[in-house]
Amino acid sequence: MGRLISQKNKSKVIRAFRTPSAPVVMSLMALILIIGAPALVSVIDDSMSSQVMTKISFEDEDNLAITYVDTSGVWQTGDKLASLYPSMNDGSYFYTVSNPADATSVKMISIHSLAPTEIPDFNRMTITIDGDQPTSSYFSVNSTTSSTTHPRYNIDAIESNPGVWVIDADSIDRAKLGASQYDTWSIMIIYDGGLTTGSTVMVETYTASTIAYGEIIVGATGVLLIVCAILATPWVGTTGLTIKRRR
Amino acid sequence: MITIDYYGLAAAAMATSFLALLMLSYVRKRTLSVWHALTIGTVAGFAASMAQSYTGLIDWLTLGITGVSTSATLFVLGMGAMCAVMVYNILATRGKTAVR
Repeated sequence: MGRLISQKNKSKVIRAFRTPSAPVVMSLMALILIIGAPALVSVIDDSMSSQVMTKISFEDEDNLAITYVDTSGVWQTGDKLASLYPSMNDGSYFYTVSNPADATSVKMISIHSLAPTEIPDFNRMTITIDGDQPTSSYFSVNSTTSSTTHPRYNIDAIESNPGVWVIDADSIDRAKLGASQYDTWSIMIIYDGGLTTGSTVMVETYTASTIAYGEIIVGATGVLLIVCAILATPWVGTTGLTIKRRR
Repeated sequence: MITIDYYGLAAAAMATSFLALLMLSYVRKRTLSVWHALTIGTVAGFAASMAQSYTGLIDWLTLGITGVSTSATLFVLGMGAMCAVMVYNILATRGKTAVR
């Protein structure tokens, strides 16, 4: 009976699968490393980073005020709005109109005179509203000293969950927040006549720290290459120095 | 218009390398093992991936050479060192091995 694989071919197959000598294996691995490392680095970009949000303290100034604009566009002050906010508080407020008949004429509530010095630059602000829900909300930065050259700048909030409004500041927003010309900040809550009784508002600010995984991978690849380069020299091996002593 | 498909090029380069090594194994009686074939395949794949996103690599190399990023500088140093050692070993052993 004939064999499926002859003895000669069988030995060829076995020889093809036999592990080469150690220097050849090492050379093949080095070849893969020297091409694989730049291939890995070439696909790393900005997306390989992670942002960690950390809550930062929020303290109001003593001269904080809550006022409202009525549906005819007139700023209402004095005792028209009953509001509650402890001095130098942690960002929690309560407001309602003194006269219930005025409730439906409230267009916009303004929590203003927030000082940039009291609230550090933030990457994210969340405004949690319990009670009457607004139609929209935004954060406003204003210049009291040079309002013509630095007009009011608004950063819109997006309702991420019912009653939770989130402001994510991008690079331009953060540049405005960090500018010394913008010395007054305020939170605007729009009702357009939808206020009935009152609302409790909780404001929280967060700062972002970025973990650049991309840079870590690139740096680690570089260190690996340096270590491999040292081990690939004839003078250093995995067992230590391999220099022969002169007699 | 011809569009360059880097993975197609890599496959062609891989096939050419196989053929060249096969011919060499007959001429110089050297054994061409499965491990050589795997290495050629891996290297061709990585080279194609690198060619596909070479702009990213250039960006990192530029960051490293200019010293803007410490990580990128480490990578440039590592690549330089590894290439130098491999070339030195190949020359010193007359093409026998790249790592000693």
